[in-house]
Amino acid sequence: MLTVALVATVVVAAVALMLRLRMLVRVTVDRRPGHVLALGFTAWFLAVPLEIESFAVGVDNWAGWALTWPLLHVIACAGGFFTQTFFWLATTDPLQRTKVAALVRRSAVIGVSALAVGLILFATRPRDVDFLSGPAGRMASPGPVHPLAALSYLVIVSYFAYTIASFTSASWRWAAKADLPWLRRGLRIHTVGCVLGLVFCVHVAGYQLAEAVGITPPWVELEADGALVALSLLPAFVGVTAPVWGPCIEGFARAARHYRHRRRLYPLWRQLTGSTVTLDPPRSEWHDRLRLRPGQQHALVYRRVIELWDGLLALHPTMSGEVGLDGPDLAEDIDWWLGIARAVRSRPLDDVLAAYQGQL
Amino acid sequence: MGRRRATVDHVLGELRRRDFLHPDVRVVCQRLSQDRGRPLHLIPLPLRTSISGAWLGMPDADHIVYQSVGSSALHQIHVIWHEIGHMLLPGHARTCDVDPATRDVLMKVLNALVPNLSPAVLSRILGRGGFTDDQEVEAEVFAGAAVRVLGELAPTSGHRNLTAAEAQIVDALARELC
Repeated sequence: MLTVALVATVVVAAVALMLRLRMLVRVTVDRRPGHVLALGFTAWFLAVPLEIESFAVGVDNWAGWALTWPLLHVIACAGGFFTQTFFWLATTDPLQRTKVAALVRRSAVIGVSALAVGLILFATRPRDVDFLSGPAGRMASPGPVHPLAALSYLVIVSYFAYTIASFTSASWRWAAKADLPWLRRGLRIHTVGCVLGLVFCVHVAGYQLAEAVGITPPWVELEADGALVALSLLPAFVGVTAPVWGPCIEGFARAARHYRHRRRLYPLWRQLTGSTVTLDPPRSEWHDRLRLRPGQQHALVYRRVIELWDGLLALHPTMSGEVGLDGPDLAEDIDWWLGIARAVRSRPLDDVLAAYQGQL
Repeated sequence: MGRRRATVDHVLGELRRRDFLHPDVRVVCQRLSQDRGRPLHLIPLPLRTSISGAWLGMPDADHIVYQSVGSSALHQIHVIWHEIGHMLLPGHARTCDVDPATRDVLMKVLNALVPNLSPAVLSRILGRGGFTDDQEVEAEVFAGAAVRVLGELAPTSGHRNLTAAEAQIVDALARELC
């Protein structure tokens, strides 16, 4: 189950990375934050497979030593650093770039130092069971871990937590401020992922400390860590890519709605436009039905509504009901015509129009 | 169709570049009027004719007459954009495309607005009544495209409850994450 969740996370990470790379090709103005986030995505994408036990064991066997442990932590810290840098770059006034550069430098120095300390500690006991396959190795010999191993975990996870806390704060703050719906939703979802990432860090640190003082928590660290990795990265990737996929989903839903409305208005359109010239009319009902391209649906339903009005005015030039130019609304017009279309099923068109005229 | 679409897109692009586009078509007409150096009047009328709108070009002013009853704001705005299309699209140079009866009705209307108007001063009269030739089709395509573009403009043209710096950052974030 855990492996499935982690594999799903790898797939989502791969999709997110693809979207990011596509964005890098499209955006031509100030690519720096985009590049940095792409590096972050790449790091997360590479880190998650190393959380999968069988993959980690395979890497270690291939290398002949516990390569997974340093590799995973270096990549994860790089992911944290790049994501943190992206949020600093993207959410700071361009006039304060010097301040951002100082923050980035400071984080880089702290990160490199933490990794150096962690890796030196690791180098003192590279064959330690606590480093072999990460938490999975510890399951071979449960109980308190070696203090050096615990310390190396704590040092590295502290830096990791610092980066996550930093961009969790930025994500939360700008989710509250963003007035673009999918950006706001995306940052909120991303924040949830980040908070779970912090929970992961607290769990790792807490587990080490608990074991160090002789308390063995009644759950397996490997399973809890893996679950938290999946639970944090999935919403984080889903959220940070929401401004890309959100409008697409919304666009498809809108296109489907417009298609449905256009089709429902077809019989009425046939009735009303018999004597008027229409623009690019469908050759048959099937032709109308098979106009399926999502990108066309708005234009087609708009055209149908305009032609319905044209047909109405041509057939009934004495219609009354004066309206101004304020508040044009295609949805309102569609609703009005759908009401007519429904009423026409049981009453003659002229009666319906007489009853409806001047109501819009 | 592709060439027609390219012409329409070019004219709309020019309007956008010169900041003439606005969700309110009356504002667009004001801006066009200033640019052309002649008044452009929008005249809502209960047209009982075969057309739903017309552009009446006079030596010193333009009048866009549109159907004011029996339709919706969206339809009226579409009709106005159709007539604006005739004014702006290249090659729309016919002087008259309406039948004599409709022309008489429009002259009566104009006479009510501008007394003692001679039919001779009416240099151009194009009505929206059917899409039987290329110019009418092009103006109709233009109207649809313009209303769609303005629909896209509308959501971002509203008031934002952010400072300028915050709005800039939100836009930058959206640009980065899209």
